[in-house]
Amino acid sequence: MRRALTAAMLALTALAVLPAVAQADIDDPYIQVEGEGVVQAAPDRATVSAGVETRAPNAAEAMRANADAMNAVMAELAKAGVEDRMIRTSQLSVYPVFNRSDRDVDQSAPIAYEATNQVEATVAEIAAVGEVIDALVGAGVNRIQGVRFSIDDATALEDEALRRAIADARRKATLVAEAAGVRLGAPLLIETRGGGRPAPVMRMTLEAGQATSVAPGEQSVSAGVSMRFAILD
Amino acid sequence: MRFQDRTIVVTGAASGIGRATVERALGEGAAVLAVDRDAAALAALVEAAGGKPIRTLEGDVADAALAAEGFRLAAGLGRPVKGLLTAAGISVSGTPIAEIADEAWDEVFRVNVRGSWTWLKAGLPAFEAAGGGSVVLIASQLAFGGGALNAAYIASKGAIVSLAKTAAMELAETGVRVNAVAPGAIDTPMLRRSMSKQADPEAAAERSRNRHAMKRFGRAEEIASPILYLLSDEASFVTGHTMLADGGWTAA
Repeated sequence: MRRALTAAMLALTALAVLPAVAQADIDDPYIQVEGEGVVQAAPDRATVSAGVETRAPNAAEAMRANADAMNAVMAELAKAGVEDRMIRTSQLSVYPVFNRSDRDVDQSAPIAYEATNQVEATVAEIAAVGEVIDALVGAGVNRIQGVRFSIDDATALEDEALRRAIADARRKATLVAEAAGVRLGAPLLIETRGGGRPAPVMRMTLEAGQATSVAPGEQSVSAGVSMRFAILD
Repeated sequence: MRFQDRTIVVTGAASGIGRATVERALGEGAAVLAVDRDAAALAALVEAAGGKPIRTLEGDVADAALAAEGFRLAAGLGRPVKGLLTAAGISVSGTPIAEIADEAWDEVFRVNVRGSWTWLKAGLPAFEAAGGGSVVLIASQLAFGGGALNAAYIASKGAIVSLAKTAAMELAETGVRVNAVAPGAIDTPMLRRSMSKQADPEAAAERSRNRHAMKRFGRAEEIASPILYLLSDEASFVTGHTMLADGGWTAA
């Protein structure tokens, strides 16, 4: 009976038997279960990614114009209360632009050069995101690439998700023991898995003459745990 | 015209070996994404390209976000991204081991080793999409012979030789070849900066030239040639190799 029960439990969990703790005998019967815990929370930070594009007859001028535009963007962000350390710019790129549609001109010669750069500004107040986007557009940003939401310090949420995962595992183990007509013993093994924070669905509207509105949605903080419980004789 | 069907990404593209390779690759039909920390030199490179398909990106090569953006922009050039040259490198030569600051050591490894690995790693999805690719890393003849007062740089170049071998093994079945070129002393801005730190720069340059069997410095375009060979399909059975182009430095 004892052997049969062990085999049944193994089939249930589809996991190999490995001696995980020194005092547990390899033949001791156990129940192994997986637990999941999820906590929903509203993000408290938003990062706006935007691009500045400038065009000029030569590459150096296009880059200079881009640097000027970026200075204006930085000044606007400062006015909107975004600190320097929350701003990142680093991806200045330049390339030739051609006139591919007019057959009367030399299509292999550049008609201009375009410089692009990106700025990422992180704000700690979600409500201020729309204002920051409006400030960016007003300062010459011509491409808003998106808004990314995050939770600044997720430690407490991760802890709670782990608590829920362990409670879930214990609930499942109790259910399995009851259904199988055995008594549940102490945990023999507890393994935690890294949690995940899937990106939230993001909504943003950019319409002329209107203040920008951004809906952050909610983020999930999850944790997983694998638990092995002894089966008491 | 070995490269008409592809885009090549080059770091350290605005000077020395990187720049010489960009110019030759454009001449052989490649589209190029040129990466460097020197924005003004990149602007000059684009204008000198005279309408050939090139796009630049300025920034720190050890920044993974920059590498991701680089391959995104490279894909935007409209051809399969099949080539990568990591030519960005720095040295803190002229310093005895006892005097190399920890920060200086770390910075050399950050740019030379992590800067190469970061782009190699970031390029894998692009190479997979292209059905394969060729990566060329820049080592140094000093990785094989050693040299005084340049420990961080030389150790970093030894790491590059090992990275080329191990990445070649790991990626061979995905159609990605990884090789390195080990130049001798090449007349580049980096070499001139390095020599200028010596007590007697001209005497140091003379000593360095004489270490080569050919008794001269190499030219950047003489390193572009083996790089372009390894980037091309002509080297289709060459991987995990470090090719010396050192004017006979290791033979002498």
